[in-house]
Amino acid sequence: MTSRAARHEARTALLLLSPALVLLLLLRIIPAGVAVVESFYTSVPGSVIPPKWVGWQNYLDLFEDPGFWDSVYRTLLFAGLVNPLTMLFALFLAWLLTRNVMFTGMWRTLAFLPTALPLMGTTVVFGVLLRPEGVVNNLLTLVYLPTSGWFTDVNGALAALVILSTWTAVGYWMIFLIAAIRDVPQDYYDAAMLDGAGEWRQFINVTLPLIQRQLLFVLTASTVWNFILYAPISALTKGGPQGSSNFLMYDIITRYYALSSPGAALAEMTLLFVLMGATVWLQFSLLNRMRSAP
Amino acid sequence: MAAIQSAEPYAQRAVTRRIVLHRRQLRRVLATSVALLISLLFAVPFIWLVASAFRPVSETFQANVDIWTFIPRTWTLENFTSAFSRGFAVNLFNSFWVTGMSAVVGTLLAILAAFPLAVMRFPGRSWLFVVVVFAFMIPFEVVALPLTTVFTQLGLANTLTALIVPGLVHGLAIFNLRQFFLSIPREQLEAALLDGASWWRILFQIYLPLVRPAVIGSAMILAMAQWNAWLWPSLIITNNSKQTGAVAIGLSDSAYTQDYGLAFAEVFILALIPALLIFFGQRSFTRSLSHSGGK
Repeated sequence: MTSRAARHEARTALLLLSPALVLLLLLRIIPAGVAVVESFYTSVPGSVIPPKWVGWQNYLDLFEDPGFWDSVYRTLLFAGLVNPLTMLFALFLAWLLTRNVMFTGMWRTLAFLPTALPLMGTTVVFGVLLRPEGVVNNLLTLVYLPTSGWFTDVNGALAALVILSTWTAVGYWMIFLIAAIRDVPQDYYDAAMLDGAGEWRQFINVTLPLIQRQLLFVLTASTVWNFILYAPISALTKGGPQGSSNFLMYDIITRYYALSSPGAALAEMTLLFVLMGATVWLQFSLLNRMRSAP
Repeated sequence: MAAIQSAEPYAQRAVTRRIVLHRRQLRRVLATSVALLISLLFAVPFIWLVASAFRPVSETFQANVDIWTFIPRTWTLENFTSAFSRGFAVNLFNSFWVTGMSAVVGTLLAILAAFPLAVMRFPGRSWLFVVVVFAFMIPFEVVALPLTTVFTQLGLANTLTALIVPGLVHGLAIFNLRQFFLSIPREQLEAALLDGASWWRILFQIYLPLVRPAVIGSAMILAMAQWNAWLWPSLIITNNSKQTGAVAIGLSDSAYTQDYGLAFAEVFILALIPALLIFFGQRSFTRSLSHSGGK
């Protein structure tokens, strides 16, 4: 009797899961497999010449290409700047907007607004605002801060993309962290206050340890999102100036379409995926070590 | 806490309380001003966008920054009329259709996947959970390139179906619902099973009504991803009458002869709809996600 019920339960579960599993197979697993297989071939798109098996050649070519290593470096530099900045802003805003602040709903909506803009819209807006003679430089001059050529400048382009990406994402991640902070039981704070802990100590000793799971989730999701940032680069910098924003994702699409070498592009895609996985793994293990430390 | 307070002498307690109240109020004002400052920082580009959508382009590109940078001197709807006269309404409709279909069907799929992963018992459950959720956390963009060939060979290039299908599943949408299902006590389930209720009835009549905020949250995750999708539509759609709004604003861009007024108006329209949704849905969204904590 029980075993029949259990079998029925398992069958129903698989039935319910099947649409998701089919889509998983069609939209993630098979295409990923195809990408990896095709990265071992060279082919000429649109021609009758069949694709040719070249083994690891596409990968070896990439490793010998200084442009590829430059792309890796710029991608990692961008990730190393934009993700911590996004996290800090999102965490600070989430903390502030769960304090006893007037009109909380309004501030939250304002901080969340950038997420409502489609990324290409944000790109158009920042493209104009960050022109060398644009509004942002004018405002910076007004308060005696240094200006930059932004998208026309080697370091400026990276900084501009960091600002654009941070501005877009902070509100979204903030919502997740607000939800996490709200979930921390009030008793913990009461206990900390009895011990004489101030706001800062409460944040470090109560809030932070209790939301670290969601923090880790937001960090990895943000990292993955920034690794595949494409629209602003394609519309504003085209990887320039001097390759300073030629991130891997942009380089891959360029190789695939503009340079018509799908094999090399898919090899690079595979490497980007490995890089992504390694970064996320590193984040997990670093944070786990922090947790086990006293 | 009450016990400690009552141990203090009455007068002293009143004084301490007044000081604490005073300090708390001061802190509240301080925190509010910081919140105002940062939120303004976020709002400035948005305000500028709204102003630019409602004024002639020539005013947008004035040399100096003053109050008129953020408020139109002359209000006009010409940007909107030129947007709609170049067929933006079609792109907008495509966006609505693609987003709506993905959100509705996708939410249903997410419910069907999250329920067994959270509630039912079967061999390999935790393993399947990891595979399903993490595989879908991989952004679709990563596998988009080889799929363009497949979709083209299936004759799906330049169809809205090609846009809807990849947006049907989102790891976060499943994860969100699963966490919510987990928080429902099992006693109800066992009672229903004893009554001989089928799994479908348990899902749709007992569990689903209890997780309404999570359903809204997951629908919003799916909808936002589709509304803003850019790379995939720009790869698979070459015919502008099948393109979504988010990509169409990029299409009017040809580096030198760009009509910025038009672009601003289109961006404004595209932002307005989710902004309204967020404004009214903010509460249920945060409440829903607060259960994704994984405790």
